Amino acid sequence: MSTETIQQLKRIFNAESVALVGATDKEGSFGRLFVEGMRDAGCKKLYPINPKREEVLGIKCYPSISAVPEKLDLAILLTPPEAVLGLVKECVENKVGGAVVFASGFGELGPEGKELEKEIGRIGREGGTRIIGPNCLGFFNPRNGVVTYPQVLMKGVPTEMGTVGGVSQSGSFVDYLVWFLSTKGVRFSSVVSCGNEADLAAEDYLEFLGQDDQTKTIVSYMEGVKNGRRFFEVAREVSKNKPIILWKGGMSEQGARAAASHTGALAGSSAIWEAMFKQVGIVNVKSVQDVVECAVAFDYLPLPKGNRIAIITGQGGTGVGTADNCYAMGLEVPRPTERTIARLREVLPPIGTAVGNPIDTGVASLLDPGLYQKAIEIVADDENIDMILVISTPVPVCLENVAIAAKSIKKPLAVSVFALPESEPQLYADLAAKRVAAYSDPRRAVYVLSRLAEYAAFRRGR
Amino acid sequence: MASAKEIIEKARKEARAVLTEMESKELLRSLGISTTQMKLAASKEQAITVSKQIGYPCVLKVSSPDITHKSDAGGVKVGLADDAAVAQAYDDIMASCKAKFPAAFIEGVTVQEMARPGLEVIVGMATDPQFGPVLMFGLGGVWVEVLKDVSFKIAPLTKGDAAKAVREIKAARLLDGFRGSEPVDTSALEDILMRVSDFVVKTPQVKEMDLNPIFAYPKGAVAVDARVILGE
Repeated sequence: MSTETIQQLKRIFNAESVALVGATDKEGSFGRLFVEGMRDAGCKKLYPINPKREEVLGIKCYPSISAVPEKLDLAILLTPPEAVLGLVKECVENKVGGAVVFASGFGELGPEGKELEKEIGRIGREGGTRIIGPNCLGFFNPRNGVVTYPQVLMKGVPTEMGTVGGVSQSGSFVDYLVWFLSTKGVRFSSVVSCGNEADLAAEDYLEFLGQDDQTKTIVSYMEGVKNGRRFFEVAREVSKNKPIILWKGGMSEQGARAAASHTGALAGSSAIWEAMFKQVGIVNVKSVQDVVECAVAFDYLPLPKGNRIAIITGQGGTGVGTADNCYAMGLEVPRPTERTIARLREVLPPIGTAVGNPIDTGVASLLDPGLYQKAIEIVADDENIDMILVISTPVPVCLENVAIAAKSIKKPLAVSVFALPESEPQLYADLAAKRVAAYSDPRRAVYVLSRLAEYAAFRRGR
Repeated sequence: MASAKEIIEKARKEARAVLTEMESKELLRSLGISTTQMKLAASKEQAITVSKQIGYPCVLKVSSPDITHKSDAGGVKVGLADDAAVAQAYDDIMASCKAKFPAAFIEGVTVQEMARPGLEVIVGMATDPQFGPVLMFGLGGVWVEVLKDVSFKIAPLTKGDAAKAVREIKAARLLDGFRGSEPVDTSALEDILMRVSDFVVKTPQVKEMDLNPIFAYPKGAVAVDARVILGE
């Protein structure tokens, strides 16, 4: 990316002075929801724009972008599509850094809309006002309080700064994703909805988040790419330092290609996308659940040094079945070292327990809730073990101990609580509050750990 | 030896998108990739003379810019042991190709050395509308169509990408030597991938390539057939 573009993106993502065109105090409107939301999220210099209002919710209102006395970093255009072209021109005249275009009714409607969309993109880009959208939901940006996601605002999602960044070509998906992840304890750096990408595209945002020190993990939903070569190159660079968890929609094959060679006939679109993900180290996932569960694991846990897992459980049978899941997903369940076994023997009762792998604390864990913590710390010390899965009894005091141990060790630890979330919601809420990677099904915990191991191997160059 | 650029320009001038096998292999050799030796023969007599030079047993293949699927046209005869076999093969090829493709311009036949058997693999290249040139590796020969056991990498490949492309196919164990056969020279295969990658990245005129089969040996690898297709 040109250094100019990255500077422009920095200004947009860190925007201090923000205009909201279409701000209003009318009950039940997005205009009001956004003013309230941004005010509460700490957007310091919010300029509501509405020629029919003197003020909105106690904030002084201006009749137009040009009337704002300060240079604007960002304008959010909450208007019908007909007004967008004129407003973008006004933004350019006033040297606004970027414009978020909410309106739909452009490229998705047909060739005429596509032309208008291109024109908006061109005028913005050439004039120095970079365009986000159209047909997008803009930002969930805790760093400057620019929050325009309806679901997020209605649910009162916390806007404290975090480490997960997001890029999504579906606005409503990412709106819900932020909400889902927030209930698991995840906090965000910046999340952006790309819309139709009249100007700025997913690869631009990805590059920005890749260079952004606040962002440690990136989640993404994509359907297509504007500049595939650039996406490939950007993703390859970003993945060297931070994981990109990406769900690609539209992978079903649109029929075989006409090709004059075997290679051409076999190189279908989805095969190439899959190959590209593997090549650049993208954590390629396939469902909402995958995105959520991987984001939690990648945000909370360190990367493992290898693919060897220890299972610590209070339920012998579940441990054995889960070991099968581990092998099926490419993880090894090795026997701990003799030293580890001897140390485990010292803390576990001799009857009804097992010290191989899976390590079974037996029913003793119900009587001595500290057992999990002791076992975890001993196993984490074993050089043959890279990561730990605890299948824990659904007893609050046991889980508290597991959470303490999870934070005290340097290896990734996922917890499977042996209880359904709908029967024990409080247990899961407590773990989320402590930012513990917790899953109801042990197999899901194995899945996320296997993805961590796979990405770690990519980072090691294997 | 003609350069890749010259070969492509010649085809362009003649308004051809598909390079002949002869041109394709010459192009590969100019990139430093081994191919089987071959020579064009415009008549039966010439075919016999060339066969003696190349050595028996040899292979005859029809040479025509209009016939790309040579086997389907009855245009390929292998394991020819002597002059008489070559003469017979020449007649059979001409009869069959003329019957199946009456309008085709036939230059003659290529006489090719009979490569010693090796593990058949494919290296290919296609142009993806989103990601540009993409390299493919897989089990070659008929196995490509039947098993589709292939891996893809977007060009340009790093050395690590080339090594992974080779290891990622399901049948990777075959490369390590299976049931007593010697392991094949995977570094030679990676080298071919790298050479094709470097070439296609700087030659956007090339749209698709098949090096199929490549015979992989315990030491080295040879492209036995090849096809290069030019784009717009």
